[in-house]
Amino acid sequence: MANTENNNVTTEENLQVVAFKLRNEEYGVSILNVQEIRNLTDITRVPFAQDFIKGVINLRGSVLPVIDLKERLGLEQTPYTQDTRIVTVTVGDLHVGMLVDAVTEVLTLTAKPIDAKKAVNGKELTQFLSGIGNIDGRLIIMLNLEEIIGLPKEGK
Amino acid sequence: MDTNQYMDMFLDESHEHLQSLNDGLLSLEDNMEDTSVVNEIFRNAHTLKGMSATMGYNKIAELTHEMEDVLDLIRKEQLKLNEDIIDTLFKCVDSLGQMIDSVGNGESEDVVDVSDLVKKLSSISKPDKAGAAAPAAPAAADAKASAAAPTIELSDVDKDVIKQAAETGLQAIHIKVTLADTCLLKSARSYMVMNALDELGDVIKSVPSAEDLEQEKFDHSFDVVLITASEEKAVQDAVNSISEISKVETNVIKLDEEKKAAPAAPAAKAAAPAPVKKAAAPAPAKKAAAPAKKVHHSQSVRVDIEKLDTLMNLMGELVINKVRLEQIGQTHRLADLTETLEQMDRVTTDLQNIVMKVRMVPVSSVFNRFPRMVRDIAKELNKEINLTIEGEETELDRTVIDEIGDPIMHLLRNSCDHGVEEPDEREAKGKPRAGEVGLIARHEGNNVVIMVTDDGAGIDAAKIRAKAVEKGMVTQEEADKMDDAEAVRLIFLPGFSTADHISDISGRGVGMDVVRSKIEALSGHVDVETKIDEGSVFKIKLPLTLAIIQAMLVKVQEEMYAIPLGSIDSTINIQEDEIKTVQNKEVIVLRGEIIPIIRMEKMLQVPHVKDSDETFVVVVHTGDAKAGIVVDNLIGQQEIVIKTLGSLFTGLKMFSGATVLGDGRVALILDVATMMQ
Repeated sequence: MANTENNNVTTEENLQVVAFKLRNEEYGVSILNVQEIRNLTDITRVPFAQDFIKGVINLRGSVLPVIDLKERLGLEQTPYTQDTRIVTVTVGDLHVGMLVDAVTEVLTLTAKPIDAKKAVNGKELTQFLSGIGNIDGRLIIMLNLEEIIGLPKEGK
Repeated sequence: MDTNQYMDMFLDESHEHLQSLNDGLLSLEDNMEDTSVVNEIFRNAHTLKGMSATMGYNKIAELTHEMEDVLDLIRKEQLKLNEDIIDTLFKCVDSLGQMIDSVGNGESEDVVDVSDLVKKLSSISKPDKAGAAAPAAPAAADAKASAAAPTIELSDVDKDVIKQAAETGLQAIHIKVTLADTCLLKSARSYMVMNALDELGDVIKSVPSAEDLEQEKFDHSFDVVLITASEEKAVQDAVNSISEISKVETNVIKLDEEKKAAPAAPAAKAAAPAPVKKAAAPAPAKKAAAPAKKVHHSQSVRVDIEKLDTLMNLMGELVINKVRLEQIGQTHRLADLTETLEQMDRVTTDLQNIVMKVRMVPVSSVFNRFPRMVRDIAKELNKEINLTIEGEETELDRTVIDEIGDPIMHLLRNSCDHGVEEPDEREAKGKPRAGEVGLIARHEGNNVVIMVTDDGAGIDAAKIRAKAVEKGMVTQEEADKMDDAEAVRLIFLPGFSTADHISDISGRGVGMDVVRSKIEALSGHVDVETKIDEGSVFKIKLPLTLAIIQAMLVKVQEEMYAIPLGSIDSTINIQEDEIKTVQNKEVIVLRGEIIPIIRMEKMLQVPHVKDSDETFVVVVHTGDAKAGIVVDNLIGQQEIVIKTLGSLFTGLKMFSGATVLGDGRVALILDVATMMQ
């Protein structure tokens, strides 16, 4: 399954990763989770939804929720630009779009990513990270999609 | 063999067969003499046996096998049908259902202990067999000895057919076909023989049966009785022209001989415990035709509902892209393009209609389980109840069909339990002992109406009032103010149950409000009309489809929302100063009615962009309650395709879904009932 692949990044060798930018940092998700990368389109706000859920868009006739990754990861907001993209991912049977500042490239991680908990001092946010990949000093923060998308528990 | 891939097919088909078994048994119970139904039931049991054996479910196969034995005896009129047998058969069908369900859930088929049923069945069929088989054998031996020509056992029905054929100048020929020892595809050969014979006349009987022949369940020879105008010789030639046939014996059946043969085995007939011999079968010709040619079903394909949803989505996408093309055509003034698009428009409209139609399912798929249920309830309550079903061909969207089963079941149970009185009580009231319960479906405009009627006691409004006051649901004054129709509607409130005693069937205090909430969740409406001692009518009104609805598009600041037209009363344009306050709540007065208003902008926390010059109020209702929704602009009425918001938004009750508009944007659909709470 695609999502277990994502969870076990630490054991995978030669992992293909879609890398993208949030502010100045580079993040990545396993290419197996990624469906497509789209330009920013009109997002319909959904009142009463959780803060990090930006709204819904029309993806070829079906309605796709879009989450704001920066909001979810607790990063500071920046305005949309020409480079802003929606990365649509599949986790289990959920399809979700993620707003990112820019998509950089598809990379292959050869070395094992470092365990996120060791790298970042046990902060709360590590639940969203699954590891950190290192390509000649370029750090790619790998996301734990299941936690990020994780069905809202506190629901309003 | 890996049978997993056939699992779905097995489950689907076995459910169908179980349903036919139920139907068959019900009609058999009504008319125990009707042997054509027995044949039908037998065939169902037989197919089920074959399927389950192939899948390796030996318990199911064993039980169906025993059923088959009993049914076979009934079919051959060696066993007289009685209520006990029918009850046992019903129990078998129930157990089969449970076993198949548990198999479907990936569990073992052992959930039900069928050994008792198997014993019961064999005790029904076996004494018979023991008695009949022994004397029958010598009789058969006699017959074989006396006539050199091959013989075949004929039932009374067969004889009737032969007799009738003889009257019209046709003759019955008994053909014994022996295949060559080297023949590999025996079923194919037998099929060719049958085909050849079919061209000459009607095959009324074959031993073994046509199904067994197909499945190669025979040695090297089989017997066929053919009714034909052709001569014996012609028949022989026809069969002999097929290769790999080693021998063809024919013999014209003369009923006189049969008659002579019949008294030769009187012991055999007497030995059978209760042979039913009917003087004249009601429709012998029809019956004879049935086994010869297979019942023709309309051709259909099973499609996963998800595929239909995908088709629907693609359809929506197509329409949206078509709108874009139209816009391009207009801005660039491309006449050719516009013309082509007009053609395309027609095609897409047709396509959309068909896709919608494909999703429609006749309500019979839900209704057909109720006769059985009502019968069981009636038995349990010792009441006599006739269920009439009308309009079962009425079609509803698949999504609705899946949901309405429970509410209807609830209403039917209520009608049987609380509606229809005890037979003695009915007689005292001058009604027939048997109560009439009706289940009627029909179209009414853009809706489908399903009614559950009974000619029972009706609902006593005074009793309802008293109960509601007692339970503290309304005050005494409120209750007094209500007219009878309003009072009766109190039964739809949560926690209301009038049953004086709690029974298994209904009256757990969770009755009607569950029905109502379920129906309202389907954007439907339920109401009741009742007259004391004349009965009650429960009326469910449902939209034809949940996938596409008519909606009013409204604008609040820069955001677009859809309000289902079904819940809209009217729309009005008002001035800001027409909004008054009553106890700090904003209201408007519309035709003498005070209607509370809801400001969408505030309620949905819509970002304020600009002050609007105009104020529109959309007056909506759920049940009897009304409210006015204040919006900035009315865009217009439109057919919209409803999409779910998905599991990320569970708990968000304010919107019943979303829809994709012509320009590709998404608009949320307001759930009026939730909004008004």
